[in-house]
Amino acid sequence: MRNRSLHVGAWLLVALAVIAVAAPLLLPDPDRVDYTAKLAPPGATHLLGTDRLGRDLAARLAAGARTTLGSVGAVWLVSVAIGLLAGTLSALAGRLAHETVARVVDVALALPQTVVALAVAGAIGPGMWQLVFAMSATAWAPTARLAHTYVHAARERPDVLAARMAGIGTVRAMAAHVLPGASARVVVVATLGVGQLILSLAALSFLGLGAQPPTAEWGRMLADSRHDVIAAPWLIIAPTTAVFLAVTAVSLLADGAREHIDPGSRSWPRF
Amino acid sequence: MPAPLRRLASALAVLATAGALVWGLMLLSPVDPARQILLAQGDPAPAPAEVDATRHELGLDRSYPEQYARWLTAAVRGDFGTSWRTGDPVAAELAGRLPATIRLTLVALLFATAVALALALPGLERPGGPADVFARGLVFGGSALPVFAVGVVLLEFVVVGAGIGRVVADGTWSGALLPALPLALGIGAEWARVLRGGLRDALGAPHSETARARGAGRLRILALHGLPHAAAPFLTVAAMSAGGLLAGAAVVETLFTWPGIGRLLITSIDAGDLPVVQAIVLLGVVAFLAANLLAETLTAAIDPRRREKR
Repeated sequence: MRNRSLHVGAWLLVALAVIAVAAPLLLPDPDRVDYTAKLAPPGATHLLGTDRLGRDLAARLAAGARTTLGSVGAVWLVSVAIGLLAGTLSALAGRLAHETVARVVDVALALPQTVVALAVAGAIGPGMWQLVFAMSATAWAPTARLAHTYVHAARERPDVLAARMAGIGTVRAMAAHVLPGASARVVVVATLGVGQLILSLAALSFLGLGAQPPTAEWGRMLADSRHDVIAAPWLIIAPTTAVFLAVTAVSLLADGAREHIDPGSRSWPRF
Repeated sequence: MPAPLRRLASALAVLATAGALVWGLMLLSPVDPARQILLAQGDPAPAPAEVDATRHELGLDRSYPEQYARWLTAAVRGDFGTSWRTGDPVAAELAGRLPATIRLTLVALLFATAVALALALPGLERPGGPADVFARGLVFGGSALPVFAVGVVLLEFVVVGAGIGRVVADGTWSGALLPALPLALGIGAEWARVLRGGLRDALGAPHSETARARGAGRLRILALHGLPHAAAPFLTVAAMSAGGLLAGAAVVETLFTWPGIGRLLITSIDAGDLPVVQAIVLLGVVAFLAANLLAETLTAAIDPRRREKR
């Protein structure tokens, strides 16, 4: 298989996940304040240096990876699960359910994700889980529409019709013939949105609307140390690189996966 | 119903639903609006009778559907109530801030167009050549770069470090040049990605090959066979990026202390000033819907195939 972006993206993501999980074993406590070592440059004791409170930057980056991967993973899971469920059921159900889901999807698609997040933060206050909730509220719409279209079209497909004529029930025919293709596409479309999601979450956290101190989060880390970046440039290089690598990893992975299941297509929704 | 009217109707239906959701934010908030407004207007300890009077005046003692109807009719007229932070009308606060954001956004969109063209055009004739690979790399990297990081670099290294531009922005056209850059880079890279894809498909299509074989010049092929074909998907994505403008403006305006609605939004969220948040959020939704409506109309005008569908 010659799909370079799929491989590079997958390995990058695995590397990030390994760092996120293994860091607590190898690096110092990300929240440990040490005033004798504030703004220390990268070196042997502090691999990537420290911030103005003397906290180890490498450890905080890894903790930030856990925050980001966790919250992004939650939104991704919601958009896959709800999207697949709502899209499939509405395609198989009667006209009323079909119309209801279609209208709700229309509204959810027409609401910009970050604006919804800002609104929710304004009503119930800032926080990472508030953001995850707000982002999930619209993230399931593109996947639901895709699943709906796919399943609806598949009802008339020759292999499905043949299965039905052989006496196989709707549920089993769908599960065996339609669901695998539908889930693969839903997973890819959900993943296509993750790069933008990482950037949005980091930007909202940078504004103080996401992760609250002392939780380490990449956007928040840069916001907290932005007045130190001339004296200590590692404080901007490290979190920016982290965001950049994470976005690059999922974008490569998603593009590669799309190319894998639907070669030559560039017409997929990207939200 | 003709297609443009149908599009307008569906946008209005979405807007009505969004309006109900935005109004519903008030129900989620634990704050008593009547008391909050009296506090903001300088009454340190409002008497219960006073609070009740204000509540009656605001119509908060009526049923929820009635309250929503009152809020919606007022909102349509541009009246979003009273700010919980300053005690002033929300509309007045917005009106003072909106011009600065419009200036910033227009400059950013202009820059984004320049970035998109600069990154979309090089190397199209030789796919896989050095110019193509270089431009594609820039597009990919540009869309993975966080806006706030670019903003911090510009502010701390260029403005504070090198002394170019102003630390406290004044909201004028010339002051918008620097803050617009970080906003434009991300949008421009995303636009360039779509424009490149569209142009590559169009220039590789048989009609372009034929034009080339008949001796048409590069510019003629690009202008007549490339750009019109790439325009439709480009417009769709350009309109989608209007959805991220509010959050992007909030980041840039907060960083550069730009006196626009993005910074007002963050200040209001921090202060729990829900009426202002509601107004700005609704404005963001309206801008997004309007941009999409415009894009759909233009796309239908450019591409006859889209006129039949939907």
